[in-house]
Amino acid sequence: MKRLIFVLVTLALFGCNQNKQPQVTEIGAQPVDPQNVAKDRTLSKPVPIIAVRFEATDAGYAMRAFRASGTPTSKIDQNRDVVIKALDGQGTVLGSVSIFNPREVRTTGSKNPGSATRPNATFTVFFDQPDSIRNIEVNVVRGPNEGLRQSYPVNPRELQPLTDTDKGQGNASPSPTPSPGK
Amino acid sequence: MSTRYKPLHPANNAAVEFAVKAHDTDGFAKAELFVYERELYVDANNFQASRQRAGGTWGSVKVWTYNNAPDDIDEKHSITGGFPANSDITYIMEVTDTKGQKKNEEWNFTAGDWPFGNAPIPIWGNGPPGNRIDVAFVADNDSYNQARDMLADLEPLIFDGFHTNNGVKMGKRYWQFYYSPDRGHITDFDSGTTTMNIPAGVSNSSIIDYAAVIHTTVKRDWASGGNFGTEPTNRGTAVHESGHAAFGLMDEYSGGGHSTSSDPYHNNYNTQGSCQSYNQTNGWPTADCQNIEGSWWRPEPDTLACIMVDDQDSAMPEFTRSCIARVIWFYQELE
Repeated sequence: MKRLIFVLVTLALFGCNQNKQPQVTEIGAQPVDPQNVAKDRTLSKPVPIIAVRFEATDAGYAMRAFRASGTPTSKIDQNRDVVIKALDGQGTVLGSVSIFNPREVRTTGSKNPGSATRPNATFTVFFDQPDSIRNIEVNVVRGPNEGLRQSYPVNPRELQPLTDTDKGQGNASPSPTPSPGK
Repeated sequence: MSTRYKPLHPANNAAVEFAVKAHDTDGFAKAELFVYERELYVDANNFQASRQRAGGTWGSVKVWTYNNAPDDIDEKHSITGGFPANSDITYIMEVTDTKGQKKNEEWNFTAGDWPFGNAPIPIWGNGPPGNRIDVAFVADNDSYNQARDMLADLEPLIFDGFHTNNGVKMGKRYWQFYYSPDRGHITDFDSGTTTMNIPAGVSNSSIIDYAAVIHTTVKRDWASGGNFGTEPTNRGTAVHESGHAAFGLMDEYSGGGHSTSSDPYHNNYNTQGSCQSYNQTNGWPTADCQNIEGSWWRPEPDTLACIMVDDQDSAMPEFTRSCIARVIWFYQELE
């Protein structure tokens, strides 16, 4: 039903004028009942997750994994520069996310554009079903480390809690093999 | 209808002002502000949670009635005593027109001392992070002595910036904003080093989709991995970069970042033919396809002035034809 509403709204918006931007109409807004506001709530409705942290350098991607509670990384956009997949023991993909290349640098805005490559960058993605995941795969589609494809084994029983210190105990992967490409 | 509150993340017992502006050609009969006060705590599952505060505000706090049925209203109301430490506040602003039609908005924010360490502090939101775009602002340590000093700059960035952009405004409920209690830093691109320190509380947070490092010193800013730096006054730049980070849109100008996408609606195509085919499929003129640079094409002409072709720094261009279609698709996917 929600998707039908979205489609109808979208059609209505584009029906107005095909060459200009559509008339702004707030979408997805739902009236609330001031007499029925929840007395209790959790701030983020967390679920068990695995936090997969990569450090990207010229040498490749080093991975460590941790156990945590939280929200899985959005799976909506699968077309960004780096694709990370979580697989179970049979090789079934349990989750797939994509992110912008963490080492690629672009100046903001449209004036006087410039670009560079960071020598190293760290990023973390999150998957649900931490106890079912046995492998993490990374595929660098574009940018620094382009062409890198690597798989990292995960043992859920060895996952340590995620802490604020990047040097915390993790499920360390072997040193990355030299990456092909850039 | 637009609503806001200030100051962001009010201090213990500091006055909080709630405001609403609305327009209705049928004229307004009433507006009403409801405030609900909860206290933050860690629940039995070790989750950040909140529960109704005993003796706290819960329900209607202000009613405005109109006998002259104005088409426009602009109202403010202050709770002078504010809220104590560890507060999680929900407020509903509801307007009723002369035909009895109601419209309301519900928003959450936190107030008083924050009990959850260096976790990002919610300053504007209304739903589960998994179904929202969650943005964390990080105060640059070369501009702010403490993170809270940034809040006064975030207020216009959010309410007079993000919320005035057509793409954000049409999906306002999908955007949630936080700030990091710890500061970070981003270097000037022209310094020759590209260091972006995002505090661990943000980079380790699964709810945050991307971070923006806010600084008042003038820098040539840059983005990497979806995070970026900006002056708080460069509202157009902040939303342009959010076009990348949130919606996966690419640059429509020469010298920018370009890539294709298999998702519905996009603003970069790597052949003229694929661009024309896309426009034809969507009922837009194939002649509108313009070369950006090299093999890259944009499906919407630069005369539409999309924010992805020119961010205009402190001004606020709109997401236009193809980009706004992408934005709508993305909101649909969040449901």
